[in-house]
Amino acid sequence: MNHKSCLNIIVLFFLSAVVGTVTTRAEEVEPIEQQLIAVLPDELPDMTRSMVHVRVSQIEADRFMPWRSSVPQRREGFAIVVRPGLFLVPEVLVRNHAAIELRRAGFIRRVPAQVVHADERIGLAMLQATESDWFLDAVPLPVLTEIPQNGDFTILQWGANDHLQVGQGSLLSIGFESIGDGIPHQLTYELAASMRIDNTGTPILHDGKLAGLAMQFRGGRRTVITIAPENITRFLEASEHETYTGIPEPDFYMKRLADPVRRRFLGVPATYEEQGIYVAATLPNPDVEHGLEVGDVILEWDGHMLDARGNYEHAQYGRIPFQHLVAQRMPGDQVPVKIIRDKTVKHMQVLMRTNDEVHRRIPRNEAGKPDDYVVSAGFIFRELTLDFLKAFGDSWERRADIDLTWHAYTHQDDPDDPVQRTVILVGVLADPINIGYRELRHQIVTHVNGHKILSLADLAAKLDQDGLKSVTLSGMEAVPLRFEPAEVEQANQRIQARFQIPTLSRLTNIPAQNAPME
Amino acid sequence: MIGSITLLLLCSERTDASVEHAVTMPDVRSVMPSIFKIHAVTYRYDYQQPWQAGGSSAGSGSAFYIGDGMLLTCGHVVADAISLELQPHGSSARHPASVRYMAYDADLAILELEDPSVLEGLQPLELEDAITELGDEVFAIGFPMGGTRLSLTRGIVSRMDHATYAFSGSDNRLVMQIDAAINPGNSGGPVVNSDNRVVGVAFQGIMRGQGLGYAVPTPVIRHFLEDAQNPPYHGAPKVYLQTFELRNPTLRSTLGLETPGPGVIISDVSPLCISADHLKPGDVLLSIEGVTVKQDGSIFMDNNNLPFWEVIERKQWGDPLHMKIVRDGEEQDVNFLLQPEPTPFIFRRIYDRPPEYLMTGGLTFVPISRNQIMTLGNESHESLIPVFYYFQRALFDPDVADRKQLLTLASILPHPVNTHSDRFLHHVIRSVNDQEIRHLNDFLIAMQSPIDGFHILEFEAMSLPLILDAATLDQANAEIQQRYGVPRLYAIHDPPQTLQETETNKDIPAEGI
Repeated sequence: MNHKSCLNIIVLFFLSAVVGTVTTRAEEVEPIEQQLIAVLPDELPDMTRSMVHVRVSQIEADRFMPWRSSVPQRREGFAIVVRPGLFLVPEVLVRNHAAIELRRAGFIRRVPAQVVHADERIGLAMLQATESDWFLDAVPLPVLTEIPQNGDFTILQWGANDHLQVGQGSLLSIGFESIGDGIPHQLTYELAASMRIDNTGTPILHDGKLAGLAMQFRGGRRTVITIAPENITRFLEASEHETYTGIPEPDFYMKRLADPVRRRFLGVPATYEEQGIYVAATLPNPDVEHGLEVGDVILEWDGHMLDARGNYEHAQYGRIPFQHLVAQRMPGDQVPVKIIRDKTVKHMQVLMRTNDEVHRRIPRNEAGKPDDYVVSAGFIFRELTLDFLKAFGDSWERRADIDLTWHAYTHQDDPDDPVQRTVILVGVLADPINIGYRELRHQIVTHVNGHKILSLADLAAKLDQDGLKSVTLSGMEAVPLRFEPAEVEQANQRIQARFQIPTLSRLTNIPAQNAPME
Repeated sequence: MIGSITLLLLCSERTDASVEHAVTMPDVRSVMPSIFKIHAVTYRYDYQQPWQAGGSSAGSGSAFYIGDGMLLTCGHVVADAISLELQPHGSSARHPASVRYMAYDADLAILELEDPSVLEGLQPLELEDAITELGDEVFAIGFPMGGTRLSLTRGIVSRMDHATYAFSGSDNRLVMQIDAAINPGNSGGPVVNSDNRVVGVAFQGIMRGQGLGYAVPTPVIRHFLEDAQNPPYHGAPKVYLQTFELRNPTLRSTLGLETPGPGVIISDVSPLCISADHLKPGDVLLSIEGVTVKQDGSIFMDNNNLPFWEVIERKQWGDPLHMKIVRDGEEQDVNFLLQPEPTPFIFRRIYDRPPEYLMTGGLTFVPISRNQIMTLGNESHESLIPVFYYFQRALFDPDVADRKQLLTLASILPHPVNTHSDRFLHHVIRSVNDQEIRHLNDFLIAMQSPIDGFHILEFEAMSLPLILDAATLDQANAEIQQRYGVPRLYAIHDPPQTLQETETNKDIPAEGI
């Protein structure tokens, strides 16, 4: 594995300020290369066969007119080889992609790729090259089983003209970071980096093995947040199944139990001082009889004592959140849990499951999936998501329609509600058929044609069945908005042509009740 | 005299055309002595720390004599006043005055002088009886920008409109838009026509607009003066309805209505409103007091398109109201008497009374109000969603209907007793010790009945209750009062009658100690 033979190696220890110059004006970097090349670790694998460039064309959907999208933006990063044809990247790099291309170092040709599966909750995605005979000599990197706590890390990335840039990193801290907005925290670690990391997915090595993928470079601190090797291993394990199984998560919201008065109120004996978390809400799951209840105090999880912050003692990392413990199990596993309920200590088994957004009444937008919609008689219907509310911009809590915001706030997870998703009227595209209705916007749709609406797919089914006869909006239940179904069909043709809507509906997401539990 | 001088000055700066126009200027000399400058010192309460003293500030405005010892001005000039002095035009004397009637919903007030003899011999200004029309020439008289000499500006009525009265922040009422320059200090001054008759009271403007000054028009003034004759002042009647325009032919046809035709459909009725007993969602309102209601809810009145509730606002409480509606396909007559409504407790900005609050364990609970919302500035985060929601929707949320107040945890004074309470900040209280909270007084009563040694405070849309140790609370309160200089643990006004009569409340004073 002689990487020196095929690449012009530039090693930049503590010289990140000159990276731009180095990579664009090769003649000036020679002295640096000669000067620093000696410190390149001998065990460095040939990265030309273990990682590829990734170029992603990414588009953001218009939340209000979901058939529209933003001008495509380009993102670049790296993927590492899982095996010939399969590559691993941070999920955020390929989120909302329109096109993905891979390129080997030293080659110009780009090969299209597609996402096999992406898990924003663990922060990783699997890519597959569309040409089966491409890059057959790819060599996967061995993956460490845990975050190494001694010794330096090696950071590898290619600059312009595929110059290999090698930097050093040293471990600052192990923690739980939120990888994305609203995503549960995941095990990560922060490295002090000797160089600026320009690309998501930059591999972090230790003793020649993969120790993580760079998620986020914090320029001000010169540190990089890195996906832990445990997560990579768990993702690869879950990917081995015919259907990606996902990673289990707690299916409840917890609150810390630090308040001594609350502890006494809940009947937590003094013998459990500093121990236990409070179950503040359980998440809906139509397929599973829930074990835990609001008000339970969880003392132990899967054989580990939980402290009042929800941490447990990890053999290597010390106290870390118990979510990591949950993630070590497989969906379908039963784990022993010790709780206090009604001031009595109890033991029970809790079923492990993935906690997809699909179970939630008001999900975030599911990453990588376009927003579904239905347009009929100029009415734009979609499901209410947290991302829709946040599309109102800064201070969305004030700017978004308060009824929608309050509905999302109070109905986000309601396991007993038959309504799977909240369907809203986003707005009305002007047409003679909707005279008098055009001022309507941002209201919850309760009924269509007199039938209660459970999801957007449900609404679409009702329209397929009977056409559009009436729409009932929350707060206006006594005033169903009426249509002549025969006129709606003609109006839809006019509206589609006038507003250049490619298709009058897009239904890609599966409603909660149809999602089978693995 | 000043009118002539102003005219001359204007003439000196204007073209011949404008000189010709200026001949309609009124001779204001006869009414000039009836116009006063108000010197007001106001005391603004502290809604962030409601137990704390507020601050005072000085300001000025205008007022004019309307007869019977009464002077008319704007409510916002004299609200929260601790000192009012009136300075007549052409005099250096300042005469102490006080507020006799205040209309928080109309931004109007009637003042009276301690020494009524000052008004002797003055010619009262009279209200114009005729409808003010678009394009009518008007003149604004007052003391803008703190000057001590009268100012006269000229313009026309550029629009009769409905707009929010900034004084209350919530009342959407008839306004007269004029292009005569009016500025701070003009407030309370008369807007007169060329006959020196009052057609409005200058009261607000739009900073970013050009020539967009507003005056309270005569229908609103007249309503106030009539109402004030039968104290206490009740305010303009309101029916809290939400309506939806009936333009869509298919919708109209479903309702048995022809297109085109009149009628607007009622989509929601506030449970707080007397009309909830007489109207229901789905009713189509065809006419009100014999005036046809159009598809968009407007009526033609005073040669203008106005919202239908203008008819109601011109009535007094106790007056009968007649509507013609379509219900279930049948035309019906609806008649009822306008009854005083429960105060829209959240929406209208509060003046002239100190803020209410209740503090326990360093947790300060206050009724949600416009004043309290204003203390939040531009703050925006998820924990404020309950406050935003209840502030905007309380009127139509049936769960709120029988609550006299909605209480929010507005601030926390740090103390070991509340170390773990931050997550409850800005949330809205639902119950205390299993007792529903509809007023601060309920809170006070509920705190007398801890459960198993704990106070259990439950909040809207939160499963987690806030728990306080009843045994240590009194000691903690004493320490917090001493540490933060809180003289009283609560201030509660107007406890609901039913609660005052309860056995447990007999010994509770209205003001905390």
